[in-house]
Amino acid sequence: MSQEIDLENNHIVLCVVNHERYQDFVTGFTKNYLNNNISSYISLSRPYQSLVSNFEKMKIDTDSIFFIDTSTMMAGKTDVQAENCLFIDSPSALTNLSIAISKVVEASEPKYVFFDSLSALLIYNPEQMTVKFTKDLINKLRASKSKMVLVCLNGKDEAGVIEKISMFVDKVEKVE
Amino acid sequence: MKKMTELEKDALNEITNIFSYRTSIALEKLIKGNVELSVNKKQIVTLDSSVYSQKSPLMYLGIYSNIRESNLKGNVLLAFPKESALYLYDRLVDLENGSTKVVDDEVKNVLGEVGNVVAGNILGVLNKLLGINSMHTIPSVVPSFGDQLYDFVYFDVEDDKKKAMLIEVDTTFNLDGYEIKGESIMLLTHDSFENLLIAIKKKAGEIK
Repeated sequence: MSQEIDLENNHIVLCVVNHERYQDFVTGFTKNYLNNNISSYISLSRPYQSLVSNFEKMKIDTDSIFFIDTSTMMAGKTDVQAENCLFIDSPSALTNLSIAISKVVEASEPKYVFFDSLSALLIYNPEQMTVKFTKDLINKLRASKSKMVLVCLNGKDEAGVIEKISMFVDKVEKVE
Repeated sequence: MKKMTELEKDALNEITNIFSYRTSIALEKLIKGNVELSVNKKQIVTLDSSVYSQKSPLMYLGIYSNIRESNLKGNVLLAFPKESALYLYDRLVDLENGSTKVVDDEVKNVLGEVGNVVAGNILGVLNKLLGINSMHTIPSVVPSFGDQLYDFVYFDVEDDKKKAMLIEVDTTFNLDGYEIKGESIMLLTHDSFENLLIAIKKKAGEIK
């Protein structure tokens, strides 16, 4: 079951998702918001190929979605290319990730940018760096026309990041 | 795939036991401590009919390695919940439990080495018992939420997904009182699994 996110009145939304709802939420959001819109999906834990294959099974049009993938190269596959994906070598390569997001936002002006997820970012980066990167990302997106949803699991490891990032977004949506 | 005979099932079952045992021995050597092993569940199924044995949507760290350059092709994946993987790292480098919070390059290298030893041991069993020579790539450490782990089970394998076979063992390792629940998963392409069954039959013929 998907959840309505108020992106009409908010530019940047942080979605704090219960572990049990994570998969449904991601799929539901992609189907309801990214599907048939020029949009961008930033994936820090799922390879591009798996995402696309999964979305296609659910009749989601992936041609209009531009992906940024930090998993495929990390899993050792370096000779990858796709027309609608930028591959980054690791979620800890924050400068490369930031440049890739800027490129995508400037080049295609996506209606929605979906960041999946702060939890995965936290695995590879200390909390302080995760917060700084996310604040910079929020500022970057605010200066653009693109609206952004940040996903974060509702876990004890994420509590500090959620508290700090909540101050910089327009709305915090709990998905329980 | 034709139905497996009782002999083939028994042999594969025994191979999964040896996988678990070898993994346990490898961990014992690495942590230089006592590792008790219990196998909670095991299954040998096609990838599509696999039922993920740990349905909880935890965050896992998978240590993934590709099997190639042999008559077996597929992937080996060793997966632990994030906290358990970081506990294992702390134990391996003699840090106090809970010291490590972030998976940096050092953590990736150390956990990758665990994967290297375990994958080497598992493939070594096939070599020793069945004469199947296999190589595996240097393991990578990948994050995953719950059943997304399967993205890496099938990662970079060029084969009909519906026919690929999965040998999956859900294990609990007790490391000096600390319980680590882990998954050892081997995915073999259809042809590779057939090669494995042929090797088992050949071996059974030799024994008779």
